[in-house]
Amino acid sequence: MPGPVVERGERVTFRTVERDDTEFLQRATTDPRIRFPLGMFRHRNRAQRREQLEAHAENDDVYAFLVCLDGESGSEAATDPTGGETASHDATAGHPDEGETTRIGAVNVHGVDGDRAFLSYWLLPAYHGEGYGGEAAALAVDYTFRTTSVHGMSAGAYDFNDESRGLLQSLGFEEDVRVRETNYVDGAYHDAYTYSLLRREWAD
Amino acid sequence: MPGAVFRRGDRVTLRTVEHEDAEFLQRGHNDPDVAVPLGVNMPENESEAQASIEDHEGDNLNVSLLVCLEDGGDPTPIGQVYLMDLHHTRPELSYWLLPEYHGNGYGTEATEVLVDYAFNAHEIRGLQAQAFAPNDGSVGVLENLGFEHEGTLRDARFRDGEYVDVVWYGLLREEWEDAEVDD
Repeated sequence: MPGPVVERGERVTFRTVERDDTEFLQRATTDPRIRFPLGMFRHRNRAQRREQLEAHAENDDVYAFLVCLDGESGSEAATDPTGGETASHDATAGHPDEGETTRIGAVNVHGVDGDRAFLSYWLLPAYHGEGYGGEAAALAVDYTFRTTSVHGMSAGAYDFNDESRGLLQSLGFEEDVRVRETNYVDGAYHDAYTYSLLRREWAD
Repeated sequence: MPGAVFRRGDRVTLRTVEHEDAEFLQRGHNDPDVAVPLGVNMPENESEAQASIEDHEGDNLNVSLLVCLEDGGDPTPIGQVYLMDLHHTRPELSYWLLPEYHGNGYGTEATEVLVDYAFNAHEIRGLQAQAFAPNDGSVGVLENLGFEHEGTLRDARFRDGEYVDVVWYGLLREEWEDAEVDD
């Protein structure tokens, strides 16, 4: 299960990645619908994923979050006679119980100790198309610019990933580079786009 | 002194880097006219230069060669060319010459020899290179060799007191082949 809430959006919460989230995160390194767009071309077993988790999620240069829907997508209020306030504060303070939160994906920001941070995100395919990805990415961008002094943020997307490219553009990211045929993915060479958003643009 | 000739152009040779070349490489890596455009912003002493030469021994993914002028006697090292990440679909190249040898076409010639080696010896899809903008010398070398400007990373690096853009170039195998036919 994920850990306590670190940041809260309208519908999604960011919770800490705990070591027993390995199996959940492993889906990003097995399911081709997730790993190809992420550029993770080789599948990973649980032990390898656990090593990755320790190397990234437990590294001070990285913000690693699980994207969660709390209380069965916001049904906290319904189960809490006081109207939800208490329930959400309790959730912030501690580790959630089974059923209290649902993991739907992950957000990572690498390089937060440097002058340029790199954003990546994924959601389970079942949760696509609801705007959760855009909300999570926007939350990660705001959180990163608010809590670090990075000069800008970058993100990448392959040419076949219209969803992610549209998402980045909607957040104000600009397309900087189209690196042609840079990776062989699922039977063909593909172009990779690099996007960036500078602090001064975010501030506007 | 540089080692054996690995590849040869009309006027320059690419020779292996030997332990005794630490002093030469150290000079390049510390000279601000070389190091700043290259993105090197920390000092390097001779033992660090030595260690970095030794670190690359037995490294099959990166190729480092000295650009040399030949006048019959001992070769004169004038710069370095570098191929990085040969296991990638598009490995990256970089190069530098000591400032007093700029402006003679040596950079283009040495880089062309390296590019030909890269495509002929390795089954790569393409090559890529980056340069700080503006770096007319470096960008000129890439454009002479048919590299295409694939975009510009805005405010990508802090150097010389401000954030500068990094221009990104790529050359695909068929573009290299077409350029060969044109020659």
